[in-house]
Amino acid sequence: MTPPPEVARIALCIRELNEDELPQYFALRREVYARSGYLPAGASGLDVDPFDWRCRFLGAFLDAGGGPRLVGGARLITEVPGPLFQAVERLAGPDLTNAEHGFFAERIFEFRPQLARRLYPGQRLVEFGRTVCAEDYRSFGVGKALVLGLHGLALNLGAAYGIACAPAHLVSFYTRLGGVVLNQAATLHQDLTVKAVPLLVDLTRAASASLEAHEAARRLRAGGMLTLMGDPGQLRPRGEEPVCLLRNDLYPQEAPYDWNPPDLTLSHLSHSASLHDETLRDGLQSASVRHPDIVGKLEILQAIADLGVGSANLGMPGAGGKVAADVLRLAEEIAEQKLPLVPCCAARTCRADLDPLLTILDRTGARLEVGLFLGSSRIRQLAEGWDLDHLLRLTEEWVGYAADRGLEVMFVTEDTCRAEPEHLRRLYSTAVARGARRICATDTVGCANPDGVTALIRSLRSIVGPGVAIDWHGHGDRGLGVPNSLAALLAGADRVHATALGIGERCGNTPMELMLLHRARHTGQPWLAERVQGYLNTVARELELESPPAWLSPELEVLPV
Amino acid sequence: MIPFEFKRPVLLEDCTLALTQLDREQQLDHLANLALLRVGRAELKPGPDLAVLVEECAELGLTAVVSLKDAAALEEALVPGLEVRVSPALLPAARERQLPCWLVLSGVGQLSPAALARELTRAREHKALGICLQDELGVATPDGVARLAAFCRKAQAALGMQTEVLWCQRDTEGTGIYGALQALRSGLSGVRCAGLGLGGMLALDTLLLNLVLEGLWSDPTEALKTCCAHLVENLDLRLPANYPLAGRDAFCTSTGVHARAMQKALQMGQPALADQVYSVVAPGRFGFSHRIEVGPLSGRSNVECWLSERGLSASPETVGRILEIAKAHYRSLDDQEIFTLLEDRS
Repeated sequence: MTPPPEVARIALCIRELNEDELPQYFALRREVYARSGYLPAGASGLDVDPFDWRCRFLGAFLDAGGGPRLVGGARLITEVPGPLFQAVERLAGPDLTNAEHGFFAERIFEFRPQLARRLYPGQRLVEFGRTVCAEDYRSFGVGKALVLGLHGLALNLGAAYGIACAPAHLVSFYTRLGGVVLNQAATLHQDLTVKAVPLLVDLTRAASASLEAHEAARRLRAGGMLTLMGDPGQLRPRGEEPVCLLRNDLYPQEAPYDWNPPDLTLSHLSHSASLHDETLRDGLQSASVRHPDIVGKLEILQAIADLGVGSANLGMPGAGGKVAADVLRLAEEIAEQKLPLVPCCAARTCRADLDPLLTILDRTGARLEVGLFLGSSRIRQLAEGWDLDHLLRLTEEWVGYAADRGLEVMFVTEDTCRAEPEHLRRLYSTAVARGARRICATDTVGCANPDGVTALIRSLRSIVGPGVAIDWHGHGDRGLGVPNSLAALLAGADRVHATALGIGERCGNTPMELMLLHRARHTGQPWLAERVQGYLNTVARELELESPPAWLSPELEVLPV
Repeated sequence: MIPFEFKRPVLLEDCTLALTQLDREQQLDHLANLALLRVGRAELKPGPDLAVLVEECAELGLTAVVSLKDAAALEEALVPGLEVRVSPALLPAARERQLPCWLVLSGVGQLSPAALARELTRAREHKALGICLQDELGVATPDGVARLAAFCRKAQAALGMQTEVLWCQRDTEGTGIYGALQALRSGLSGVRCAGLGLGGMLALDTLLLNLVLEGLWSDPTEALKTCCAHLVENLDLRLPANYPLAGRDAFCTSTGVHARAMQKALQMGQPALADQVYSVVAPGRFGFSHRIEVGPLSGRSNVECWLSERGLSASPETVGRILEIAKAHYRSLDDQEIFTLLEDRS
């Protein structure tokens, strides 16, 4: 679509409306809504409702030399009267003002139960709505700039969440900008003429879309009213990002400060190979999950592949029977569909566990990694009646057996965090000498803290040198799964293991979704909200998880501090 | 693992009661459990029973706290023995009424050093008893928390302030517990938290587990278990199975390798070894116990342990038959299913 002639040489400006401009926005709302079928065709006058009394308004202006012209606008409903409430009263009359409590979207949908799980004491809620754009100026980024401007305005007001009632046919537009659909079933309500869905925007999350909003809010705090514009004098074509510039000093507040030190050494988290999914192996060790059939496992595998992680553990074929058959089918799927995943299988140090992997290797002809594991801690040795010499013999024999036959060996020491350093040194040195190209330190019982993980990973690096990759496999018994994994990466680990929703034995593993969130936050990688949601939904459905992660009672009252 | 080094006793402020709508009897139950845990302060919700609850707190050795949201609420707080938490805007008015005040600073994760120093100065001028640093957006990483806490302590020293400082953060990205430990290690006095992480706050129970493991808190024995169970029951919560300590699976295994190791330790007459071979902490220290289930990833040890725990025995054939059925099943067998299998075999 070619932009109207003046768009090529004029600036787009997004800013709060003043009293004089408000009638233009209400008129534009009426015009757009009548044309879109939300209002009776040919309706005239102004579109004003009782919620406007508590609103802040944004306008999108084009200025071609003859003064700014309003081409779009939007509103943000708050819980207190807006700065233009007197102007709204004059335009709407006394009957319409201050008559409604709460939010417009709450007349249509039930938001509070879900919000009660999220809102923290003192956090504010706002509603976004009535975003309109004159017909001639659609598809050039005006709507996107308005929505991001609303998000920035909301952040500037201290809001943590925004809700909205969005037309069903525009859902993809809003979800691209950070909105999450709370209920996929579109509703046709008596107050609406089109089907609508409830949207939630979590302004506290490092969603890629809302990063722009945070930037807008930061500039808004620093310099005042927000102006979003492209290159000076020109509106950018669709798909390119608008740049935030400053205007006057209406909001003389201090810019937000960042206490966090820059995590430059986490840059390798941006590589897909730095994340390894264990949902289908260690995740299924949870005593409370349903073990899915092969159809379910294939769906989970596809969802893992969509995440942009580098590898996935498919199971332990040595368990035999159904498990072995499933692992073979999953490995075949990766090869046939060319999924961007390195397949991995778990195995104990014995022939019975390794030979099924060789069969898979033969059948698929693709690379196959084996997580060859062996208990290493003194406490485990005591319980099993082992000694170090026995462990070294097993390591030498079976690492060599696997590596010599074409398997990529990751040598895993179980319970590494409680093992003696000298035992680890000898075990890992033996494994590397026999062909292991990757080692894995595990916090089998979840006892580690980040300082310990840092010391451990650095120690292992000094043992195996730079040519051998190091993995970290953490558990959540102390609630430290995520910081331990981040510490491992910072200390030089090449890859960390995680599962969907942190499922796994006892208190589970490091949650993959939080590692992806940190990847987005620390490396600038996009936050793939829809894919992550799809992954979590697939796992929750196939494993029949009884309690979702947002498990707090909806009846809880949230205390304002 | 490397132990943390902390400088002082840890103060915990529990906000559970302020976040919930428990009735008075349930609130008193919770207060009693908090007292057993020796939590320093308990935050209450303003209401008609406030004065009674403050008295109960005093008897149990807890300091009663209430957060005030506006000037109108100041009058409600004129209860002897009650401490109040106020925003900077309310601090002067609260001090005029001679209320014992703590200053709550919101959004500290994005507050500049200069602004933080200004607020600390204000707290000193108005003789605030303490300061609560609140990162409600959860933006501060553990390293960021450490820097913030260190700055706060330095600024306090420069200002000649001795007041206590609490850390409060919304745990949005899975690093909150470690952030709280970093805050304590960096010299802050304590942490505001809530049972089971209600309201997205730091979880009192998980934090206590860490403090116990770091040697900073004595074993709370049954009190913590009772506290968690009390909240689950009265708030009708559905706790995730893998929730630390109080979740259904926190001390449960259904895999063959793990059950076998525990069984071997028990057969060696070493129950303490069995307790810790696959657990970060002996569950008995917190009033919990291990549970072994029989499921698709189980071995014979799981079945044998399950029978042994119930004082039962069965022939090798029966054990094998139960295991065969469990391995073909899509999830762990429940107790009734195993009892039925035993009856069928007999």
